[in-house]
Amino acid sequence: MFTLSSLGIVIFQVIIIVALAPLLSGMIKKIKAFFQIRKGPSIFQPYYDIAKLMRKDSVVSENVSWIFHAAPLISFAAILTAGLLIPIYISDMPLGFAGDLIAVVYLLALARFFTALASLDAGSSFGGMGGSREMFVASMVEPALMLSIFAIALNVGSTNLSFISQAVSSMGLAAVSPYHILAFVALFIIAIAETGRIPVDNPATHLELTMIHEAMILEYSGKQLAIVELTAMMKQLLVFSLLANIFFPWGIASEINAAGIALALVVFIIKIVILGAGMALVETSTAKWRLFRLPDLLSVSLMLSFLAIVSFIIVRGV
Amino acid sequence: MSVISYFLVVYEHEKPETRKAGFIYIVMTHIGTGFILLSFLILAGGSGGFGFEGFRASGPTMLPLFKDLAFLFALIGFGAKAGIVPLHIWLPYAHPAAPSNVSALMSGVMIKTAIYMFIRVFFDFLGAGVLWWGFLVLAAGALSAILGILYALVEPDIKRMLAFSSIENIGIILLGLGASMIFYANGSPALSAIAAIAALYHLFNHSVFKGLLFMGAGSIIFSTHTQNLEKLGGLIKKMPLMAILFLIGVLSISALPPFSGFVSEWLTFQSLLLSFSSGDSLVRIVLPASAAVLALTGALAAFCFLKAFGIGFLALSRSEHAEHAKDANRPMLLGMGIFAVLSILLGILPVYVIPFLDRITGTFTGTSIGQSISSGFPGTITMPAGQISMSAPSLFVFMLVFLSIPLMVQLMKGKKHGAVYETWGCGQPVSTARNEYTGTAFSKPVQIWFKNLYRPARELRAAYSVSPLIKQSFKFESRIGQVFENYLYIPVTGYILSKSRMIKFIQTGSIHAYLAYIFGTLVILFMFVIMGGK
Amino acid sequence: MEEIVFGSNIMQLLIALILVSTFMILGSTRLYSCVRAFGIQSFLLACVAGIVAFSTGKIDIYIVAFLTLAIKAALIPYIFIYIIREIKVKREIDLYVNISPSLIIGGILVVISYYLIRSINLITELSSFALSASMSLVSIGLFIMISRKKAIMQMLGILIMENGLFLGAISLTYGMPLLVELGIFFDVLIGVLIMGILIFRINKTFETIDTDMLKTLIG
Repeated sequence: MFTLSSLGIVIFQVIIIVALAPLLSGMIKKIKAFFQIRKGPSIFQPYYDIAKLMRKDSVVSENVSWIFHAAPLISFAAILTAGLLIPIYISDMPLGFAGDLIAVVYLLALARFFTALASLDAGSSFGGMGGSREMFVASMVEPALMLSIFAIALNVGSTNLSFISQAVSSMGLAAVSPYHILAFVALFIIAIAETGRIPVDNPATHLELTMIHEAMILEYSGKQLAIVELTAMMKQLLVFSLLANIFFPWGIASEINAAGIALALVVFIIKIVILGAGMALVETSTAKWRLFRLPDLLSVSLMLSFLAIVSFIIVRGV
Repeated sequence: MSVISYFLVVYEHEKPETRKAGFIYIVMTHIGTGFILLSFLILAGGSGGFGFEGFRASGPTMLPLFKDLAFLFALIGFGAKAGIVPLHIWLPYAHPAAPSNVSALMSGVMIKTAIYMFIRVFFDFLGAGVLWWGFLVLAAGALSAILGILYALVEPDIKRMLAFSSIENIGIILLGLGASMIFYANGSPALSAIAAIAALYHLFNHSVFKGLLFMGAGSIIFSTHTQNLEKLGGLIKKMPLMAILFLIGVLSISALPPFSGFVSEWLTFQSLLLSFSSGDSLVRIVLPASAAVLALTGALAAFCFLKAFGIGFLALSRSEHAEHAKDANRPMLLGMGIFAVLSILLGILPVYVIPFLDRITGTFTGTSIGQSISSGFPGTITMPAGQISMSAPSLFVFMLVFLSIPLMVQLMKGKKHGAVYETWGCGQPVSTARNEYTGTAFSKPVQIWFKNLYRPARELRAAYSVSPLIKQSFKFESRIGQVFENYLYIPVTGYILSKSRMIKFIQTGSIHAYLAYIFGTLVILFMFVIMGGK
Repeated sequence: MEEIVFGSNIMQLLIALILVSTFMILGSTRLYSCVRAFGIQSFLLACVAGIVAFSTGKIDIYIVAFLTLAIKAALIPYIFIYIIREIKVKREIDLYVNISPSLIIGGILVVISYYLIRSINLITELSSFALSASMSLVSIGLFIMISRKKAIMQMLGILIMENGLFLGAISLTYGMPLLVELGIFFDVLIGVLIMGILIFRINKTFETIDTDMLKTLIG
């Protein structure tokens, strides 16, 4: 059941997630800089940042408990576990039996829960503010996310990620239907919120009062900060690969051979770069929204998923 | 049952609020009992007997109208006992008033008895053949879930918060039950069985983690003498073992893997998802919509319990009470420990629980599904369609592996954590409890989001000493409007009271008049028998 | 023939996008973005008409498609923007019903429209999406007129309703006779102009176009 080659796939997947995550982050920054007619830092800058943080000592608040130290590791583990379930370069994930899309959502929730818990641990107001806003945004995201999952599952008949990407890629261009597009747009809006990008959160901000994610991790420094940052980048990569391989799985390898996997990796990188460019475009063309206008944005996403479900039913005439 | 638990609620009867809680409790459960009696009377009318066998036999032969009435009365009656919205108002009064161990018992067992009776009446007696019953139960579940957790979220009193959260969990159970009834009415007993297993699994989980949390709350109150979350803080250092056990409860109720709540919520989502194999288009629209409600509930539950743990246990103590807290004593910890272990086991070994639940659901859905959904390799639950599967133990093991890698690296380096310094506060010395984020502030975004529901009232009062520029003290008060009490119960009771006053003239106080009433009634009854002529 | 046109993926996509543009109007609080979304909606509608024209080869549908593009997608949005600029109205829409509930009501209206169309049961399965969408547009347009305060939004609402009717007509009968169609276009244009003038007058009299102020006109 569990062969050596599938072990190889799993280990390779973990390496890819960890290795590619900073690259994606760097590329989005670069594309954003291009849209804003700046030069921008090198696309390898996130690697340098993490390497540098790894060498630094950390300063820890005197008020914290073990939660503060454990949280980054738990989040890291939860995100990587979610990474085992998401097809990246091969559609048939050997560990796909362990969980479906809903399990992925809950693993991401676990990571978020501990990060938010750690934000309260130091007793700083900024941390609490960040944690509170993060959970607020999460509560708005979750229903929209679940409905878009249902819209996807309706089309394919499953929430198993390997199954979805195989089914969609075998459908070919016939898969591009109204409900497919509607669910994609809905999930794209959710991805903006999940990865903390501009209408929702500004990843580049350094003003404590406007931050969400940054405010939560304000107390972290040194190696712990490196892990936290890496976790955030990994999460971003996973959200992007969900978008890429649920909706446009074409090019993904369906069996294990070197050429197929190499091609799939190249295609995957192109796909996430395109998605990243879309994200950068959104970030450049919109301003950050007021926190209490975000329910409007996410109810648009919710309604799009709902429309996807309804239009599926209408078109299929059930 | 209600009377005995009434005495449990008013155990500390010297406090006036306890007596009020007891009163509300007994009134609400009596209303419930009234409706249950009506429902049973209708059932008995069909069969001529009050035994369950008689009810079961009468179910299929009854007229649809009477069936609907029996269903509605049972829903209202047992709903009042289970605490579904809008019949929930006794729960947040009764729980904080009762001692914590009683709360754990009430939440764990009593509410569940009502769910048992739901299943009994709907499936066993009435045959659950009507589609809209399922939709109604689903709607009641969705409403209870969302409103329960919304009220829990803004509640600073730990035990009231837990009580509101019980309403939420009943809602989740009813979502599963409603889906089960819908599938059953649509003629797919296999799907119905899965949804029923999801509901029962959550019911089982809820008694475990809610019991754990109530005991935790009890030992917090015992040790700090306050139920107010805003006065706690820093307990993780004062009660380290209790904190870990409480955290397990919190993680379970927030439905985070690999703890117990996750499995049952996953199952509930999957059973809602199964609507796609149903042929009815309305089912396929409504069930996903209720899944969105469930997702919102789940996220808000995580928010709520994150707040409870974060504000109550982390950072600095916010009051003298919390400052001098001590860890709970051995028996308390042992009791909680058993529940915590159960919570973890329910989370990672669902395959051993599902066949057991399946035997129960098999009796009323008529289908055994447990073998086919829980027989996979390492503890995998498999859904009948679309290769959907979830293996909680595997997820647990992966997480442990990924957790151990950085831990090993850290151990090998053998270096302690870096320098210790005060918390960053923009260069200001802020390391005092007064500067911490409060629980109210933490849940404020949701309060603003749902301001139409909460109808918050706030009051700001400033006292000035010398000049209007120098404030001496500043008082902020914020309250949540009790929507159901203000807009439903008070008008209804007001109406009933005013009507009662109209017929008060018959209460003369004279014993002769009362005897005359009895005599009059007797005569009317005689007439009735004579006219009936049987 | 009909089934090929309305069953084809591209057509469904266009109709779905028309629905999305309607929800953009519902979900936006800015006048400009509402007008823009209306322009997009009309453009998509012109595309639908264009495809129908292409597949049937009827010259009048080409004309109708072109008129939709010229009048509804270009001229009317231009007039709107002109009005907004001229009367220097606050660019935020005032609402009776907030954005999120509006969106949810919109979703429910779509479902109701679907069941309505299904119950009529005289059309083929494949064009039911177009008809449901057209019914949704009509009802959402009406809802926008009810729930928004600014007079401009009432105009937009009626235009959305008109777009819905147009979509319904073109999906049922491939458009009405050209003369009728021309009449409707003329009507709409004149309507917009008259309402525009009326808004100017309202603005001049009350110094606002908030229709709430019209409540003072009761006897």
